[in-house]
Amino acid sequence: MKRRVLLLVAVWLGLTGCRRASPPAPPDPLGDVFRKQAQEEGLSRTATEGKRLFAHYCATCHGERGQGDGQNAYNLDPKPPDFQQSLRSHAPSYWRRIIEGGSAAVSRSPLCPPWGRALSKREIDTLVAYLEALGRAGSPPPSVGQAAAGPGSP
Amino acid sequence: MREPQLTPLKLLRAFTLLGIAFLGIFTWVFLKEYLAEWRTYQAAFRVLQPQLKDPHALSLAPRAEGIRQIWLADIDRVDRCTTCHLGADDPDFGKAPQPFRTHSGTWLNSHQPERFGCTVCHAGQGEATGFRSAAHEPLAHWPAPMRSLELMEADCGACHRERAPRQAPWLAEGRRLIANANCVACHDLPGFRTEEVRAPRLESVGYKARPDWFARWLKDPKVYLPRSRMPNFRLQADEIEALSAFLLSQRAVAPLDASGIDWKKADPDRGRGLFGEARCVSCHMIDGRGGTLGPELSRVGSKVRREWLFSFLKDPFREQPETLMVHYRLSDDEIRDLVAYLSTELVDPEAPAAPPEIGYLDPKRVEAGRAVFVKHGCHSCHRFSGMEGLGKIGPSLAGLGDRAVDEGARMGSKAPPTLPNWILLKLRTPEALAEPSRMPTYNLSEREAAAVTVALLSLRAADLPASRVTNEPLVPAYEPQGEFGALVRRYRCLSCHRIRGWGSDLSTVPLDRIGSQLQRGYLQSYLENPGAVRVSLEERMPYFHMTSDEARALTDYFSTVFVDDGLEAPVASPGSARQGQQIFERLGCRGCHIVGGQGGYVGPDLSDSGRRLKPGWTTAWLLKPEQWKPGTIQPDYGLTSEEAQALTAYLMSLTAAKAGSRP
Repeated sequence: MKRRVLLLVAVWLGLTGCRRASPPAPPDPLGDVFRKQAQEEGLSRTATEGKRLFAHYCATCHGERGQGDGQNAYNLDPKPPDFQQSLRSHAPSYWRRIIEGGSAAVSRSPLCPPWGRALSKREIDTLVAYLEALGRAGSPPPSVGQAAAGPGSP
Repeated sequence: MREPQLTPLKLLRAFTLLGIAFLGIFTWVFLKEYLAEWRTYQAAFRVLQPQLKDPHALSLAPRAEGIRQIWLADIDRVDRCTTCHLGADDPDFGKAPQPFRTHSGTWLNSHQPERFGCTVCHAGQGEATGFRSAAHEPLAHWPAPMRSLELMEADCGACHRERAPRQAPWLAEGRRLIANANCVACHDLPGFRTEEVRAPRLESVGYKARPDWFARWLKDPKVYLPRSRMPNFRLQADEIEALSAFLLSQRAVAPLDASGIDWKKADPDRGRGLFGEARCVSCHMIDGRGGTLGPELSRVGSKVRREWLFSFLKDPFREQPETLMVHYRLSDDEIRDLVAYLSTELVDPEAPAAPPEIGYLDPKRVEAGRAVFVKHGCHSCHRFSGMEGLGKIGPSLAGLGDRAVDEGARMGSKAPPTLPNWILLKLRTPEALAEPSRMPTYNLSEREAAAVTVALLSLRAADLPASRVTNEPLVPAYEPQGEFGALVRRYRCLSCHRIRGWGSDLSTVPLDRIGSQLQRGYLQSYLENPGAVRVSLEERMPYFHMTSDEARALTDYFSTVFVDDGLEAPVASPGSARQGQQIFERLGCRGCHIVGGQGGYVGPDLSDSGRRLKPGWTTAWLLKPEQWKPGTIQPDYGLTSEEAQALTAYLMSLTAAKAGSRP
C-alpha cells in the first residue's frame, strides 16, 4: 500500500516535472528575419520611422545619412553640416527647434525651412530619435573624436 | 465475493481521511487565490505608487484592488491585462519596471484602452490573469500568443485596411508586394481587386515574341530579367516546349503592315534621341534606371520581333486594348528609328544567333500547351479570350490569419511550425511544403517574404463591426466621354495622373484643378511640347507629338471643367512685387527653386512663373501647401496673406525673358 502511494507520487512528480521542463524552442525563421533586420539597422522603432521621414523631407539637402551630401547640397551656401560631426555639440531640444522653426529659428541661415506646421509633434519626435541615432553612429571613441574635431570644426 | 464490512473503526478512519483531504483542498484553493500572481503584482504596485506619484495625484489615482477588466461588447472580448499592467495609462510610470510601465509612444491617445482593450492589438489571452496563461509567450492550445512588434502589425491590419497604413511599415510593404505580384489573380484576397491585375494579353503573342525567347523566359523569367514581375513556374522541359508551341500559335490580330519600311535607312541614334524625348524611362526600366509601370526594356531587342514592335508603337491599342502605354503621334520614319534603337542596342548578348525552330503548327503540341497554360493558371494574369470563366486556381486566403497549421507540415523540426513561419516558408519555397504545389516561386527576399507574411496574417476570419474598420474610400472609375475622353485615352493621361481620385500617382500633379493652377496659354504650349519643370525627376511628362488642335481641345476642357472657383476669385489687393522679392530672398526660396538660371533643382523652376502660374492658386499654395498636397516638401512658412500676396506678385512678375534665359 505504502509503496503504491510512493510510486504514484513519483509518477506524478515525474509527469509534472516533464511538463515544466521547457521544450527546445522550435525554429523561428520569421523571428530571425525581424531580429536580423533590427540588428542591421541598429535603430529603435521610433528612429526607423524618423528615418523614413528624414529620407522624404531632409535627405535632399542633408543626404541619406545626414552627412551633408544630399543632391541639392552643392547649391546651398552655407552648406548643410555633417550631422555625424555636429550633432554631439547640441542637445536634442536644439534640433527640435530647428526642425520646428527652421534654421532661422536659431539665428542661422534661412536655408533649412520650418517643418513645424507640416509634421506633428510625434513625427518630429521620431526625427529627433533618428538624429540621436545618427549622432551616436558618428561618434568615434572620445580621444579620436577630439583629434578629429580640431581642424574640421567651424 | 464477500461484501466488505464497514466496522465503526474503519468508518471513522475513512471520515478522518476525507476530512483531512477536504481541509487540504480548501487550504490549497484558499492559498491559491490568496497568493495569486496578480495579487502579488498589485501589492508591489501599491508599494511603488507613493514613490512615483506626488501625494495629491496619489489621492486621486484609482486604487489597485481586485481584478480589473475591459469589456468590448461589440466584439465580445474581455481583457483583464490592466489587473497587473496598472500603470499603462499613467505617464508617471514611464521608468517603472514591468508590468507597471507606461505604454510606449502615443498609441493610447489614438487607441483609447476603454474602446480597444489590449488584445485587439497585442493578442494573447485577455481573460487570463497570470503571465503564462495570458500567453505572453507561446502557449499550448491558445492560437494567438502575443507577438513581436513587427508581427503585431498584422493586428493593425485587421482594422486598418488601407494599402499603406502610415505607422506599420512591414504591413504597408507587404500589401504593396501583394498588389505588385498579382496574388489576387489566383487567390481570393480581401482588400485586393482582380481588376488590379496587370499583364499583357497573349492572343497575338505568336506575332510578338521570337521563338527562342519563349523557352528562355518560361524556364525562369528572373534569369532573363532579374526584376521581372512574372514568377518562376518551375516548368518541366516538355511543358516549356508545349507551352511555347501554344503561345507561338496565338495569332489573333496581325500586326500593322510594315512591309513598306526600308530598314536600311533606319537610324538608331535618332531613335535613341526620340526615346529620351518621349520620356520612355518614366515607365520602362533600362539597366536599373527607370520606372516600373511598363515592362523592363533592357533586353527587348532579343525578345520581340521588329515588325511587331513597329506595329505596337504605331497603335498600341490594336493588340492590347487595356495597355497603359501612350499612343504617341510619331511618323513612320520616327517609329522605324525608334524600333531600330530598341532592337539593335537593347539586346541580350547571350541570345542564340540562329534560333531553333519550334513546330508550333503541330496541333497535338498546341493542345498540350493549352493544357499547360490552363493547369498553371496563366490565364489568371494574362486574360485570355475563352478562358474568362475558369476561375481562380489557388485557394481563397480570406481568414488566413486565423487558420490552423496543417499538423503534417513538419519542415525538419519535431514541432509543427507556427502559422507565421508556415506562411513565410510557403512564400519562399512553395514546393517544399506540399508537393506538387502549383504556386510559382517569386524569388522574394527574406525581408520581402516577411512583409508579405505580416500582410497575409492581417486577413482575419471574424468579420469586424464597420465602426472598427478604417479604409480608403472606394473610388468610382472616371471615364471621360467625347473628344476629351478620346484624347485622355489616346495619351493615357490616367496612367500617370489622377482625376477625381482615379488613375495613378506616378505624376505629382493631379488634374482636378489644373485649370485654376496654370494659365491657359502655358497649358497649351506645355501639352504640345513639354519642357522639364522639374529636371531632377526621372518621371517626366512625355513629348507626345500632339497636334495643336488636340492640345487646344485638352486645354479648353481643363480650363473650363477642372477649375476650383475658390482659386479663381480676383485678388483684392495685389501685393508689391518688390516686397515679395525681399521675402523670396529672406526665406531662401532659391535653395530649392531656380530663378534666372540660379537656384536648386528640388522644386520647379520659377523663372517663367509669370507666364505659367495663376495668382489665386499661387497665393493659396503658399499659404497652406499641405492642404493641397499632403506630404509635399514645399515648406509651410506660416506666411500672412499679405506676405503670400507679395510673393505671388513677385512670382507673377517673373518671365523667362526678364529673368534671363536659362543656360
